[in-house]
Amino acid sequence: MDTELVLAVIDRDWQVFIAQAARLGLGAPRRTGVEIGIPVRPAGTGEDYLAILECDGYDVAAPLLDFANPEHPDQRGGPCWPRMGSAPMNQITIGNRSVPIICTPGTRGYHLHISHVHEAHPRTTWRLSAVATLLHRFLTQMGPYQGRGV
Amino acid sequence: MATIAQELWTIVAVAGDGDEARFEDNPHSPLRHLLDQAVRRLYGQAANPSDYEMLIAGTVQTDLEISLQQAGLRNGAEVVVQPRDVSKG
Repeated sequence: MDTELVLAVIDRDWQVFIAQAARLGLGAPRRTGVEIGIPVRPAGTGEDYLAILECDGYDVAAPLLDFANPEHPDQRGGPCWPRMGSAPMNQITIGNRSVPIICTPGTRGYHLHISHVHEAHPRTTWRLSAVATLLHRFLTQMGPYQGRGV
Repeated sequence: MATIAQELWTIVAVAGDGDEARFEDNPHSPLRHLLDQAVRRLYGQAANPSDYEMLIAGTVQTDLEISLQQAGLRNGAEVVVQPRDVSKG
C-alpha cells in the first residue's frame, strides 16, 4: 500500500486517537512515519513500557502491536512485553520475526493468525482509537501484572 | 409558585472505537442513568447496559449508584463506555 496514502489515513484518525489515549491515561503517542510509540505503565506498577504500533498498510491492515525497550527502542519482541496474568496470549511469526499477540480482535497479529485469518471484521475494529482502548484493557484489566517478558 | 431550575451538565460519552455522543444529565443523577443513556446512544437501543462498563479517567467505575458529582465529573466531562467482555480467540 502506498506510504503517502497510509500517512493520510493515519492523519485522518490521529486526533481521535490521541484524545482516546489521553482520556484512558495512556502516555502521549509519538509518531515517526507509519510507526507510533506510546509510553505506558501496566496497572499496579511504576515500570515504564513502550508500546509500538506499526501501521504500514493501515487501514487495509490492522496496526501490528509490539513492545520496545524504552531505553533502546530498536529492541523489540517478547522480552519487552509486560506479562499480564489473565491476558489471552499467543505468538505469530511475521517474516523471520516472532511477535506475541493478544488473542482479541484489533491488532494485526490476531488477524493474521491461522485461527482467525478467515474471520471478517470491519476496519473500525482496528481503528487507531480502538487499538488504544484494547491496549488500555490489556494493561489494566488483563492482570495481574507479573513482570517483564512474555 | 416558584420553580427551581434544574441544572444540567453536558457529558461526552465515548465508545471504545472513539465515537462520541453528547447529552445532558443532572449532576445528582446516578452514574447508572448516565451509563444507560450512553449505551443506547453509542451502541443502539437494543444494547443491554449491563453488558457495558464506564471508565472515568481510565478507571472502571464499579459503583454506579453514586451521582455524577460524587464521581468527580463536571460539566463537559468525558467518560468511556465499552463492552465488559471482548472476544478472546
